[in-house]
Amino acid sequence: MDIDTTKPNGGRIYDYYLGGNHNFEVDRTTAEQLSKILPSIKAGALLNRWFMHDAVQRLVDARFDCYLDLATGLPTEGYIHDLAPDARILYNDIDPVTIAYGRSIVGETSNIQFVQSNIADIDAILAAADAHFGGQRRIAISFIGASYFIDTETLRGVLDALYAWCAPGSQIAMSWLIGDVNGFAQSQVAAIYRQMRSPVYGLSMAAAQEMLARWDLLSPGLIELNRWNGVDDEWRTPSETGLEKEPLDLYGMIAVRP
Amino acid sequence: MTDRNDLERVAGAALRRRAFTNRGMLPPTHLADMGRELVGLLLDPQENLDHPAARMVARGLSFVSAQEAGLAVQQAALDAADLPMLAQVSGRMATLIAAWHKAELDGLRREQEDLREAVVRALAEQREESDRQRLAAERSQQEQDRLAALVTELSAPVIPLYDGILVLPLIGSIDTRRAQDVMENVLESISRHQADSLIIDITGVAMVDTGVVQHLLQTARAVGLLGATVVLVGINPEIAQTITQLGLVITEIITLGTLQEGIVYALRRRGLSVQAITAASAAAARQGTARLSLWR
Ligand SMILES: C[S@@+](CC[C@H](N)C(=O)[O-])C[C@H]1O[C@@H](n2cnc3c(N)ncnc32)[C@H](O)[C@@H]1O
Repeated sequence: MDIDTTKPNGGRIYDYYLGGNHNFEVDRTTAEQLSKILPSIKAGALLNRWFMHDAVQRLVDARFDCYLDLATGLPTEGYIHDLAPDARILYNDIDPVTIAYGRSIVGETSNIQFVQSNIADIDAILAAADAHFGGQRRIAISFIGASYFIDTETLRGVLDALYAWCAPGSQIAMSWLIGDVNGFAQSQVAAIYRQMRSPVYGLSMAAAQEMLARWDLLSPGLIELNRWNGVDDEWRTPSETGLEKEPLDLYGMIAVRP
Repeated sequence: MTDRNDLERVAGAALRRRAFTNRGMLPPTHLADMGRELVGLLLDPQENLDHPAARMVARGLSFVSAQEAGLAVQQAALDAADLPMLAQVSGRMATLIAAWHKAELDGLRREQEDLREAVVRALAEQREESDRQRLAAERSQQEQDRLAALVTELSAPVIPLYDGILVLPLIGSIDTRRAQDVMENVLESISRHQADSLIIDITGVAMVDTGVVQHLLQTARAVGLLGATVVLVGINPEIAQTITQLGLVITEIITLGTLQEGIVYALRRRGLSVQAITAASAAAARQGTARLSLWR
């Protein structure tokens, strides 16, 4: 584990976009540079985090007391443990630095644990969940702001593993990048992510629906995050959209394991 | 007349227009509530705006969106020619801005402190003591620089009040460095908003001395070069006396008693007549005109 505060860190950059102060000069500078190349990146981060709020609030209202959060990032103010203070929560991230900060920010209590793991290694995460939740498998799952960092085959495997593992009545809240996959593959934005060695994988609507076929979607279904959050249609800047419609858009949904 | 429900709707819609300036913990679905609260802060009797402002900052509302909502409410008051309300809302906005900045700074300090602790703890797991201290020192220097920059940028907010009219509420003490910042900020805002009037409200200035007056005059001259006029308001009797005792004669700045009078004056300069539709606002408007004194 290399905690080097002179190198930018994804979790802290994300926090900066959310208007947080858990970041350093190097993170802010990098974040601003990224914003110049991908102007919608900040708005996208906000849409995701706002969706997380709304979705988790609904899970809390449905009285879940165990939460598995995949790809947590920095669990800053207003994150799941704030919305569900009495719940048992398992946070996850692939990045050890983010995990170390997370532990330090919320403190590791008997209720809140962290597991550092690639989501692709879902079995290890589910084993940690069994240990932390004491065998309870009727749980709430949040998988927000991360599905599109995982290639399609692996994502399908992760969803299937979650489905097989969790008990009926469990719910999952998830955000997606959905749209014209071929158009996106040829776009400049896709090239930029590839260059940053963090490729982004979009899905066609049909592919996303197929992955969710076995789950029961709750109202309002699988819809664009700007609609979910009740903000403007056009959340991207004109310079980025040009004259054409962006190939991919952020979507969110909540579903029940039947 | 201005209906409370309408104002709340107007404020909520303005907050929503600026939703993306808010923080991650404030989903837009909460903004209608925020709009109602903000209208309450602007219109209802308030003892102290610090606490409510701090609460809103803590809940993730950005200054930009709060300002947009404040402007929308001012616009509604203006459309309804409700001058007393316009003046009250502008005054409250100025106070709120000061409270807001303080709350944002406090929040920033607190969170940076958290982060510093987090780093130190994380580092402690794997680094030598000496390494840790060196890094902590570098970090804290960077944070101080950022804080200093923030204080500077926050200490001289220029508020667009209406088309072409800007208000600069000055608060606290003014030294040369701050005066310089204020001046730059003002000139930039004037050209950005293509303003023709700048109302400087010095109600909140702790002390006025020759230096401050000198700075104000300099600003007024520079503003004049951009084709705009400075109106100075909020001179209390003590300050007026100081100015006289110092033997200073302000010939280049129009001075008026209150912010409200300043607004009336600036609107009239734009050829805007404020149609007072209540007896109270009619009286206020007449009074404003009567006391208009040009120290030229
Ligand atoms: C967008 S942020 C987290 C968003 C957060 N869940 C929210 O709703 O605000 C994405 C995080 O996913 C983590 N991540 C990316 N790929 C991952 C993977 N394959 N497994 C686990 N975490 C991953 C990154 O380290 C980063 O901290």
